[in-house]
Amino acid sequence: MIFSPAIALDPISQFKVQKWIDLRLGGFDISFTNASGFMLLGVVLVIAFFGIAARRGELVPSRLQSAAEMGFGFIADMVRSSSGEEGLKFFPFVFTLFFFILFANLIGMVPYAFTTTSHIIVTGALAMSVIVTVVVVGLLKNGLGFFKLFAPSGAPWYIYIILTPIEIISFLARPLTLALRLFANMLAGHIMLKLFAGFAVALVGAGTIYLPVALLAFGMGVALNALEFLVAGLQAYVFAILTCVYLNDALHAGDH
Amino acid sequence: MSSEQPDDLSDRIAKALADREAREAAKKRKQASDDSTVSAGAYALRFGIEFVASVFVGGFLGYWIDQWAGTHPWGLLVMIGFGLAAAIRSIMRAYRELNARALKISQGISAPDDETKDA
Repeated sequence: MIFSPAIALDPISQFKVQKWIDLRLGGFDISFTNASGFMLLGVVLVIAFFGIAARRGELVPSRLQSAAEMGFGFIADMVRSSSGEEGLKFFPFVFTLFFFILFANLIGMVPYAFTTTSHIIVTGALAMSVIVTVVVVGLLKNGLGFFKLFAPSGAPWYIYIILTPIEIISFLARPLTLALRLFANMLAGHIMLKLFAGFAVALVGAGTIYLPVALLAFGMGVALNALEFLVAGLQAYVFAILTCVYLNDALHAGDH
Repeated sequence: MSSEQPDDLSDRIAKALADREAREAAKKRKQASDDSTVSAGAYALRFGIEFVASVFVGGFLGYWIDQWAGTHPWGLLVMIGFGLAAAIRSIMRAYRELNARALKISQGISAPDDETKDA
């Protein structure tokens, strides 16, 4: 047997970062790991997908071209509806985020592939890029009026003593929730997948009596696989739309 | 020459258009309710994480204030209180959005695109 039950039931080892090429720069470990490799793969695939889809630019689109156009239109609509025409300046940013996360999630669904979005350092970096953009754009656009975000108008002055700390905490919680949501979803999903698949293998190995239970576990694994594909798309969507919402706040901080 | 034909044709076009409109409207309604089922799951995930994150941020700020001003443990206590308040506020906000959406769907209007106006 290739998988001993102990190995099959270890759901964590799939998240292990391994060095592919050992690199050092001024005392920092900048090794090219499997995480870097699969992120690079995601970027290459996104570029290849849109490059090939847009190569011809036919009036009557091919299947690939219309898929790319749908993706384009989908993000454009999302940006326009949640942050207005003004938000379209950030269309490339949101588009890149969405497709990077979507491809990273989907690559993770390939057996033996590494799910980069199941590492909080990756999702955290993405969330920080969003929040830094929001703060910089907000400050450039509204100047100090950006800080009105922490003091919504229309309340008596004594309310602000309580309201302002609450709003500041809400704002600071944004990057955290953004990062945690994606990370937790991918991590939990992949652990579940591994567990149920491992159960099925282990139960088959345990004896014929357990075969019905093994089938049950296998069925659960199949169902979870479908769910994970849904989650992969949904989490990319949620990340992108929340980016739009936060950008909207930054663009219109002075208005409310 | 059949002078009837144009009338007949325009009638048929009008009927086909009306049919299509009805079909599209039904499709949109169905899609709106489908969307709400999918995002119900997304909202459920959001609630938990947002709650924990707000309290955590509050606690961290409190700890940091204590370190800085030496007010242990009052900063931590007060800021965790504020964190809890922020958590409850964000959940109430999400709950209001959900209510507004549910109301719109039940009235047969397609779900608004700006579903997560503030999170």
